Amino acid sequence: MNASQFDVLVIGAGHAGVEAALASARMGAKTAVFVIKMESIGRMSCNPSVGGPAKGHLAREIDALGGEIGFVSDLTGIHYRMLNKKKGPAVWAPRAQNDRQLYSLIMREHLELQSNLHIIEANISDIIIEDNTVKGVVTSLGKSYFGQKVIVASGTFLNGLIHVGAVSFPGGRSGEPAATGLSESLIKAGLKLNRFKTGTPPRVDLRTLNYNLLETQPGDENPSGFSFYRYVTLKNLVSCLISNTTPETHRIIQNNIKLSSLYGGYIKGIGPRYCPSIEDKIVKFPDKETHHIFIEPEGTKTHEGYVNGISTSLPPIIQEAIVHSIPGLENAEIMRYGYAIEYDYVEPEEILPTMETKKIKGLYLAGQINGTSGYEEAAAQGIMAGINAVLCLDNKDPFILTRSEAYIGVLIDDLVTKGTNEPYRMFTSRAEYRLWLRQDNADERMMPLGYKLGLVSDVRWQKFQAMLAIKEREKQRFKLENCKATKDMPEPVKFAALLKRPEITIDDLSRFGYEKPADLTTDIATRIELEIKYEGYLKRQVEELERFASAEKIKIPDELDFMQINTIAWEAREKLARIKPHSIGQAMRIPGVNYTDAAALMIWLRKYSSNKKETQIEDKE
Amino acid sequence: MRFNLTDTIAAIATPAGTSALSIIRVSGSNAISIVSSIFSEKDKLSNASGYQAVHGYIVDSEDIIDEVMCLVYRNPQSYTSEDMVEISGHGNPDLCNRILQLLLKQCRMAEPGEFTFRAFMNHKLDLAQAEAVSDLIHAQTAKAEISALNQLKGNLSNEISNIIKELTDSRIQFELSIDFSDQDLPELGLDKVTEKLEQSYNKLKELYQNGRQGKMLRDGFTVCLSGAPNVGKSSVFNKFLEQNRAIVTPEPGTTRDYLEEWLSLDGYPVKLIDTAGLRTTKNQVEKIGIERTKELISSADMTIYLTDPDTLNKDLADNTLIYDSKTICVLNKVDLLNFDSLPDSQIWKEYLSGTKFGFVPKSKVKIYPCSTYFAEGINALKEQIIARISLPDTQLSSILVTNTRHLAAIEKAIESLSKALQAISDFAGYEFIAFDLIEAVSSLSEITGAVTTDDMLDRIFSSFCIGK
Repeated sequence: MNASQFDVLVIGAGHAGVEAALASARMGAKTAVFVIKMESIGRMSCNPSVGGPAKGHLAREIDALGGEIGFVSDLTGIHYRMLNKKKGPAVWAPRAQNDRQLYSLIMREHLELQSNLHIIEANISDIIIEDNTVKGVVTSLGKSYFGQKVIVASGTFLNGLIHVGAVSFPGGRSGEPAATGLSESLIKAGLKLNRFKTGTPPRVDLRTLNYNLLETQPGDENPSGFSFYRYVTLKNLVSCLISNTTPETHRIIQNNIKLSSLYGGYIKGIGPRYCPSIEDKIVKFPDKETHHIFIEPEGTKTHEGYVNGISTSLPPIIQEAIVHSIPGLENAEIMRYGYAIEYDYVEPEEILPTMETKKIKGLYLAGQINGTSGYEEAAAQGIMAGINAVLCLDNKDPFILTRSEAYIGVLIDDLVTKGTNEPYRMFTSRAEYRLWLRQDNADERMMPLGYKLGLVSDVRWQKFQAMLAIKEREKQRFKLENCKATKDMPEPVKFAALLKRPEITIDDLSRFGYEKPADLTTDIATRIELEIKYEGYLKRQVEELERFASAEKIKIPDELDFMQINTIAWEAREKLARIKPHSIGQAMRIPGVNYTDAAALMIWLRKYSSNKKETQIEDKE
Repeated sequence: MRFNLTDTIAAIATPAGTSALSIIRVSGSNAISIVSSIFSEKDKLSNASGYQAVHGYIVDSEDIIDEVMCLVYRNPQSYTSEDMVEISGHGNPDLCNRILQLLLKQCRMAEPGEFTFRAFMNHKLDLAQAEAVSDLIHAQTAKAEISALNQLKGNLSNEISNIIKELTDSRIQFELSIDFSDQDLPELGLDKVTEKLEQSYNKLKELYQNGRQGKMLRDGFTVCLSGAPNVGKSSVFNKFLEQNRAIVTPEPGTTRDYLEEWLSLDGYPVKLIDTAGLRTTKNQVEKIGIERTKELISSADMTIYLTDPDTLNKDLADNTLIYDSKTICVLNKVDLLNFDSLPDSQIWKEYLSGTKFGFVPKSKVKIYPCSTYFAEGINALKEQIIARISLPDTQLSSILVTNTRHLAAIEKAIESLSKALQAISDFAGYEFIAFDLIEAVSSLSEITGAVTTDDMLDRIFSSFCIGK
């Protein structure tokens, strides 16, 4: 056996890399994952938290599909909240604070325990490409590794440049070197690179805070996590703390604005609008008198606290002044200073929905390298890249999730169809089928697919089947059985009809004679309640979904030369040729491609397929 | 953008304008059930076999709209290879539109060329016709963009855009509290949002009512008869009425000093107004009448300026109305000029330009001959009117389609909006309220163009300080 020969090589072991490597190994491919520093596997480089609206949905979907982010988050959570609890059941969003150190450790352990998976500490400086096909990678020490599939999940490390005030230096994140050489390798391969920017806030020693001036935000009483496969009980171990900026904070920033890397003209990359630095907030929203600050403990074995809300690239002395202007943080000691980081990303129109690059066969990109931000967004791409790399090795059909199946589908479809002008983050409003793409039914949507792919074990699958059976049984009961007559309900009605009333919840049904069976868990009860209460909406959503699916089903062959179809407008032809949509549905989502272009395309496709048939007949003769 | 091959589509298949018959085509898997739902003989129609015709009435809840024949096609024996119904009704554009509008509550308007497109996709057309189909689709779209249409759309479009903006603002309130719930954003004021939504709801209702009452073709084209007293306006007016059936009775109850009648000229509804004679007068009552005439003339689509051999020279010298671009100048009483019948255009041209009859007009204004004494006396005039009002059929049908499509879109939006208001009062989840609002906006954007998620996020990020 050649120690340098693998099926799949994964560059990077962040949130995208670990999912890609695990999925690949679990599906039976001999996989190697390269990490610059062994201790930073699954590192949370930004705030130590998983989930929130849309991101929590992604985490649940990845988990159900057989990924790791939700499972490890549940093992390392220290503070849990279900967001949107009051807003509506389809957008409830689990969010967890995690022990940063523990998350890394456990993720590393899971990688080490995974058969077929080899972890190698190395900085990859080149990708070996021959005839537009990937062959392997070369480390900075000059060693080569070979494999048919290479997944690049290099995060913010590609030509990473850290900025603090006027100072800047190469780095992948705080305390780690950047990946140089890899960008050049990608450019040489013909990929189009660009630059984004993101940033972090300073972190403080929690022992130096004045807790009397800080509001405490405890976790939920009944914590809910992410994993459908969880076997541990979730516990809140810490509370978050809340404070706010003051007029003094704003004055300090205004007076020193030119000293920040951002406003001093040192940064060229584009940052995310939904995650602005404190400088940006003060400049762009001068009328807002105060901004919230959330202080999030980084773990149980450390006193480090992440000061969420003041991401900054101001010089250290100004960062100190800002921190000290915040009530409760007057004497806070900074343990790590905030910084901005610029990094290379590959324009996502370079990749296919399988995450494979259009130009280089066998080369896959996943995570922040595709212009996204966030652990969950990265993890989603990672698992999809891992799955598709192995499917391709096995000559099987690619695994593509549509916008109507999963947030993962929305994410990848947005990237490959429309690209992005800023680091892309998932929002629930991006999902047209939000009422269907819920966090509660992520298992119903994803687990059968994961099971088919071999990512979900039989034990897990049996448990899921049992849950479905209980759910179906009780749902039928609600539809068939009458409630008892009561004072305010002289005529008995079906439990389902009763549950449809806005003021009645599933817990109220016992008052009307519903005997709750022991195996009906809160989780299942909540699903049934939602499905019955909002039946009308869900039906409307399903109708829309079916309309959507029909255009999605009309496939476009990979080899199609769009430029030769002269019934399509020139501009649309160019766009189609660049994006290479895989279905009529996707083609129509490309900005600049309209109904008539799609119709012309369909006519052409039919002609094309009939021509093919005729050719086949001729061949037989 | 909606697009697929299986949903049900409908469109008026016959050219616009008043005719003996008009046909509405419905195609798709639900074609028969949808038509049945608005048809008096529901069971007969749903159980009809292919190529069977069913007689009955199209009904809007209790109201009978039209007596029609429904011809049923069962898939694959139809033009599109899908289930189809062709509704043959009376050729009245208004009735036709009302039927289409009822249908559009349950299915969608066919895109230009879509029936043919489906026929092709379902292998009903052979390969050679493929290019022709795509040409057709392109050609149709080009016509849809004609500026006349856009002008008609202009006002409505603006109003709809404003309502879309208001609805999007409300939606943003819900989206903010869903997607950015962990941020320090102002709390959502449900009462305020409800109030705003109700305002939008009322505006849409009003637009819908106005739209129903004031459709372009229903209003017809207004033509004013004008001219000095005693040039024969009233006899020309009466001659028109004799020869062309009135299609609508005059609006009753209004006192006025002019006569108004509806005519059907070549299928086009025309409102002909006989105005008070134009002259300078000191009589107060007559003065008011003349003022009124001037108003009528300025709001009309066309003016027929009538003159006679005695007054022609004076009119050409003094009357500016003759030179207006929407005026047709007509010389009445040509029987007095020694013609035996209405002169054809060649003879008339010679008469006017030559010295043969010793009469030379001083101006370049085109003057058309007319006489109520000749059998063909008003034909030249009638042709001129038709030539000026007739639009190309494609353009006319676009106008019709646009109106009906708009009304259907508005109606759908009203329904979604009332669901949203209901959802709010039921304390439903914000995502469900947002769903209704998205649906309302999506219906309205069929009139104005789509609002994308990116547009909305742009507005969120520029108006609210998002991000920790």
